[in-house]
Amino acid sequence: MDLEFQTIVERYSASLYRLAYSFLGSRQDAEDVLQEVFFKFLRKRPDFAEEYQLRAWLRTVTANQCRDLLRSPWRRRTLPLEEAASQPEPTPDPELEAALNQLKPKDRAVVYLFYYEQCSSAEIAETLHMTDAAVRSRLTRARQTLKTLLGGDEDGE
Amino acid sequence: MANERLNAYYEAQRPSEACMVRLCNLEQRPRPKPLILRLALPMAAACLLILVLVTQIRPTPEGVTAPLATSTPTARETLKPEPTPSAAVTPTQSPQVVDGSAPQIPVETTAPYTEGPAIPPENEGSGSGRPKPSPEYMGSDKPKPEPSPSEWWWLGGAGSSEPPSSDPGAEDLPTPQMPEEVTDITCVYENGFLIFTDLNTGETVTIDLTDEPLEPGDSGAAGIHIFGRDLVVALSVGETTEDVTICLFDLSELEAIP
Repeated sequence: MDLEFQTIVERYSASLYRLAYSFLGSRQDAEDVLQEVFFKFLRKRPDFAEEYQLRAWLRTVTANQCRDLLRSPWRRRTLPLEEAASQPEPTPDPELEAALNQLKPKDRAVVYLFYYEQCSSAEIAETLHMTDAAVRSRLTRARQTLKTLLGGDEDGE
Repeated sequence: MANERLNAYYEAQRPSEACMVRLCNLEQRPRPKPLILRLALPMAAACLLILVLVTQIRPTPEGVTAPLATSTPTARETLKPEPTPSAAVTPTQSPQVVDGSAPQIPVETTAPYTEGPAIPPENEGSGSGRPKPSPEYMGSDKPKPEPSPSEWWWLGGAGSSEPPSSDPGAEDLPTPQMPEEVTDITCVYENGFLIFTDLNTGETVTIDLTDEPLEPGDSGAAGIHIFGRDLVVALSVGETTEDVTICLFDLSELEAIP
């Protein structure tokens, strides 16, 4: 598989950005993570036979990067300027965004990967370094929370 | 309905144009050098710094080496040479006592003087009147009161190259190899001053010890850079300060002892 870097960026940047945003809930952090992921890609230049392997690699690196950022004590002690200035980021569905923000970062990522990316629980488990059962458990818990917060029609079924 | 709402929400999320431009230009940015190359320059600088520091610590022609040993048991253990079966023991002469009237040559051995030309000392004593204090420093040790000759035999001052039989554990110790004393430089202690004389050139250097004069029972050794050479001065004071025994050793010879 021999894709141009620009093609890879255009093909995967939106998807990876959403995953990072699901984790972090911040546009700036998500864009920083995205940049770091592609920077790692350029450094390592992993060679995959199939494109799904590249996609899985990019998702895993993104998830790892987000997890590292969430663990970072520096991030925990700082507040994005936008939040400090009380200027909420524009969002197409503020109610849904507020409900999603009630979930834990990993639960948000599970919801995104399952509903939007339509990944299987096994794929999600591999990407997020958790067991299949844990993915299903988180999914169930997230559905219940969203159902409660959004009026009972967010079960996803 | 729920999935459509979620899809619409996620679909609207995209990285900004500025971010996309940055990502597309990422490839054009110069790649970072490998870690080893990034560390090479700082490591080389650190090595150079360490080298310079080590060089600075070593004695310079103007400087004086730090005291090498005292008559404490620890220093004695440190300077005790390794057992050498073929080592020939060359005991030096018995220490002489300076009577305080005039500088005397305390010891004489047959060691030739092989060093380069002596560097003139900064202070030259004229031989008359009170000698001028020298800026050079020599450490004086007062490690133990009432030392016995058997406690500093290893410095060559007791006239014996072997530890006395009364020394505890002496039978277990190997016979040390004694260095030869310096013969072309003499040292005497007089009125609180150590007076070094280079017999080759006649130059004299005086070291002022009046601030901390020797006292009966003092003994010890110290390193000194004098007349362009690194020497070890070993001295022992007897019952009076006029009974001072001083021996000089060339540091290079001490270091050459296995």
